[in-house]
Amino acid sequence: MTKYEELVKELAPRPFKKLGVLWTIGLVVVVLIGIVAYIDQIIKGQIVTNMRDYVLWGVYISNFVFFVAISFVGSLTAAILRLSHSSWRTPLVRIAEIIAFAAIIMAGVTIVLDMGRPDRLLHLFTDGRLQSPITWDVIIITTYIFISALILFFPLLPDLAILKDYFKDRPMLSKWYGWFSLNWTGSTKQWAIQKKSIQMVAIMIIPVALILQTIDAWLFSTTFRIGWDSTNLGPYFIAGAFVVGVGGLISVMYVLRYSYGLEKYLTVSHFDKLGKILVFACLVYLYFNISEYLLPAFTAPKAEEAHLRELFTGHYAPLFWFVTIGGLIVPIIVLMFKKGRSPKVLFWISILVVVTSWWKRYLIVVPALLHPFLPIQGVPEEWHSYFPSAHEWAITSGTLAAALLIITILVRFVPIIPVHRTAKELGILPTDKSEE
Amino acid sequence: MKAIQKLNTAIFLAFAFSLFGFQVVAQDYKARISVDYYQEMGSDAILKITTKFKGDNGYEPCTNTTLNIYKQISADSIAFMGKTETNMDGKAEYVLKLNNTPSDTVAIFKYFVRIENSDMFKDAEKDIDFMLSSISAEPTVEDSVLHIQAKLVDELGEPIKGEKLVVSVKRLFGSLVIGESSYSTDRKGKIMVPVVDSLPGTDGILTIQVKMDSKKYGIVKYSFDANIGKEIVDESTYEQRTMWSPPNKTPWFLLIFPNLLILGIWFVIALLISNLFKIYKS
Amino acid sequence: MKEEDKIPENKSNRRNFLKLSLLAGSGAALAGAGLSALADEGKSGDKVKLMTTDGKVVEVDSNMVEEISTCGVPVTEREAREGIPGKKFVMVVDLAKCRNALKCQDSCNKNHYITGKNAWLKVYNMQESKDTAPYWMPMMCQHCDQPACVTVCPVDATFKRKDGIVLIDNEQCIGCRFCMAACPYSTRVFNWEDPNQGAAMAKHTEENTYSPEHTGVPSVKGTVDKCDFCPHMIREEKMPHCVTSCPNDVFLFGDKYEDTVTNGSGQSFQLSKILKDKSGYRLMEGLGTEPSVYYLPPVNRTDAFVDGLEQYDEFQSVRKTEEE
Repeated sequence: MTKYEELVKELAPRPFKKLGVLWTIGLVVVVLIGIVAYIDQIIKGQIVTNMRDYVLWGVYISNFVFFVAISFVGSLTAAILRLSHSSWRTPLVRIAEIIAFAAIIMAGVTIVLDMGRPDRLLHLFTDGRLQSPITWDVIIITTYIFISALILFFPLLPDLAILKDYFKDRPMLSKWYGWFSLNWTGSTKQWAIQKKSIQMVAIMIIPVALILQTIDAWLFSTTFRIGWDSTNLGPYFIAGAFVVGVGGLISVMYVLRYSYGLEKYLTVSHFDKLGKILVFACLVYLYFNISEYLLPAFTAPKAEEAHLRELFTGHYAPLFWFVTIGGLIVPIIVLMFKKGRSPKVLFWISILVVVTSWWKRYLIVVPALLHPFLPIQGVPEEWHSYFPSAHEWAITSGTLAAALLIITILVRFVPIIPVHRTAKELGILPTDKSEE
Repeated sequence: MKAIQKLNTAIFLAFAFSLFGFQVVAQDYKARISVDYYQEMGSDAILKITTKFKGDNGYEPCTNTTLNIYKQISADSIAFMGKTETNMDGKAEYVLKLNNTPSDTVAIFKYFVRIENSDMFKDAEKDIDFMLSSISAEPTVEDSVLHIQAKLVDELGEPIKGEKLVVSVKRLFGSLVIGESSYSTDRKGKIMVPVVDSLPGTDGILTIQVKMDSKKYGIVKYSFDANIGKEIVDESTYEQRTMWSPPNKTPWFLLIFPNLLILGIWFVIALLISNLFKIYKS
Repeated sequence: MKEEDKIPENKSNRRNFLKLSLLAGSGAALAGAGLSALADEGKSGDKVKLMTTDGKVVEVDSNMVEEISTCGVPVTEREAREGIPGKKFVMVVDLAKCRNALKCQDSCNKNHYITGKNAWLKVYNMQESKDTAPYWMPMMCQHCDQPACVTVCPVDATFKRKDGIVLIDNEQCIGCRFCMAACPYSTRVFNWEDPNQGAAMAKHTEENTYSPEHTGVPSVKGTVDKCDFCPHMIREEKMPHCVTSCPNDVFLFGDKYEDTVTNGSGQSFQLSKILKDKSGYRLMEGLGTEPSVYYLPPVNRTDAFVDGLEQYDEFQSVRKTEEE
């Protein structure tokens, strides 16, 4: 067995072991529960949620914003690392691209879950008004789904061809890989087209991703609502997306490294570098948080003051401080130290970052709705507050599980570490596979 | 005369029934009737009738109640003129045709409105008397100020003095009074009402109404169109390209800028997909 | 009784005379011959005033109009979206007269078959600061001239008409609720569940085709509703239900182009004058939404604020009627 064959064997997708199967079944069950809850919501109407006329958007929208955010850096990191030719990027770009792809698809699904009349979805395309930020959102999400699929797919082509050969003894699987590899033979012409295409999509995804995050922020800042009506919101969302994206990437990387034994490829140095990126992202995000929360505290009109008081010391204070300290302060302090950037510590910090980021979106969406310009009157007492209902939790968990399921399925059938590229970098590529 | 016979039969029948105790429903409620003589110049004079009764929940309108109208034709006799029925608001109208023979004295008309033999109400009556009059009006300019001049005369064309006239402009849901709440006619039966503010009207046309509500003459109204108003200027942004317009009137910058972006991005996506085909083919 | 009733229904009956007294019978018969010309008098053919779709008011005989419960004037979808040309509807709310009688709300709820828990017209218990006097403030859709809700609608379901009215087409609405998020006045409500509007509404929709001009007929699960300024009434030259039902003449309604507003009692006032004399204002002028509803400040009030407290329920705006 040549070194190359060994590498292919090591990096080729393997069937799940017991834990992997359990994990997948678990996800499928959660997704199914979500689907059942959603069907119930369709039948009974959104009365099954705890959203009402004042808190008119709830966990669906905050979850949507979370998906959009996490989809950002997955591909942006990939694009930047590709364009800057950082050679250490090789083992982690595909993981980032998979996360981005799964997240943006679920973002698209989640926004439909929030609609009162999903049966009229087509109206968005047939009667779309370009004045509405929702129309922009629909367009940019559709676009981003295509682009993240393409940035995932182009670099995959040579690997799929390798897998086609590797699974020769399993003709059905081999046929599928052959089909998806688009007759990849590694000809000079194919390499040239592929290289050019990757360059194109990597350049294009940067502005599209920035537009996506900005539009997502504008869904809120184009309204008059206290806490949303802020010119700061676009860059604030981009910085936040950077944080959660890197956090998500590190978390998934660590899990894969642990369960597949990829220590050779996903090294301590990779974690260290990503840890540095994360702390940088957190610092930038901290800056925007300060300008988002501290500045209004100085010139706060009455309504803004009430909103901030609610966050700082009121009903949402525990959550707010958990999110601020756990999602910003703690990561910044811990990741300043080299030991803090060791894989295990970094993993737990990243999990903390992802969880707090999810709740952060919740804090952006919900409390602002509880501070309308006119007092809340004439509605039942329970409409004065909001916490997601069982249906909302089931459906939201379903979407999160579905995103993880997409990642899991891709991990199961796609080499998570680019095989061809790694072989090339190691100099063990058989001559017939060379792109030169 | 056939009809009279019929009615006589009816009266007989009613008499007979009451004798035999056939009166089924108790005539409990006491209805109150109010009548106004109402004349809009140029159209038929009418009696405007409003009815109500004190029911269990305070005053209520007498709905769908037949009202009989009688006219006094001599000192001691009245004639049945017709009937009308109240609507859901307890209101009814009755059109009069007063073909008065020319004479040199002003006639006094007297009418009676009655509820008779009703299932619900005791018999009730209300009478009204009125004299005929007419109002004319026109816009004039005096001392370079626009005025509405109105004149009130009686049946013989003699000016009526000391009656109050109200001048107003007809509006969508009511009428807007011009100047004082009312003006008394002078010796010549005239009033002069200055129009200080220029009011807006469609194409500058205002429908001016002059109205008298008098005990002696009833309600008499004269209205005419006059081109004395400001022209209405439509301020609607409906035809413009605004942020709140429908899709076919999107502002240009929002049509051009996003569409350029979309076209640009999707052109590249199309190119990339065609590249996939190229790879597949080669 | 029955037999007797039938007789006056005979058409020739109005030619008949009844004697003032039985004794004067012969005289009456005589007079009858001389006055037969009066036969032309008759019951008034009830005239009904209608506003045609191009904004003109016509008077037609009631026989000509088919009886439809409240939607008197059918309009096409296009007409419902364009509105009544040459008009700009405005409302004035005189806070000095409001004592939270809630007749407006009851009438609105009833006539729009509102079954949710959030009325389209609410009377707020307002107090700017603890040292200033509390007052009652009726709130409904402000029908802004620069409506934030319409701006953000992605599917052209809510729209601004020529006559200033903002309506919702609930056959187009996708239920994204962005309009509700955008409205600074919180006047939009969502149908979280099947509205279940009862038999009266069902009958109404059977007899009429759907038009956004009468919101709530029907309300649709998963779509947004709000105060519609009652264009279905305006088409019949009548004012919105809240205006006509108010016992205190709090509301005034009219066409801004005519510079006139009329209250529930039918008195009309010059809009520009009343706003000037009584220092009228609009809510949240600073937001630039340009509302069509003006408020007159609560000064020289007709009723004490506390008189309204009895009616006030912080947690309810749609009272269930006993029929349900």
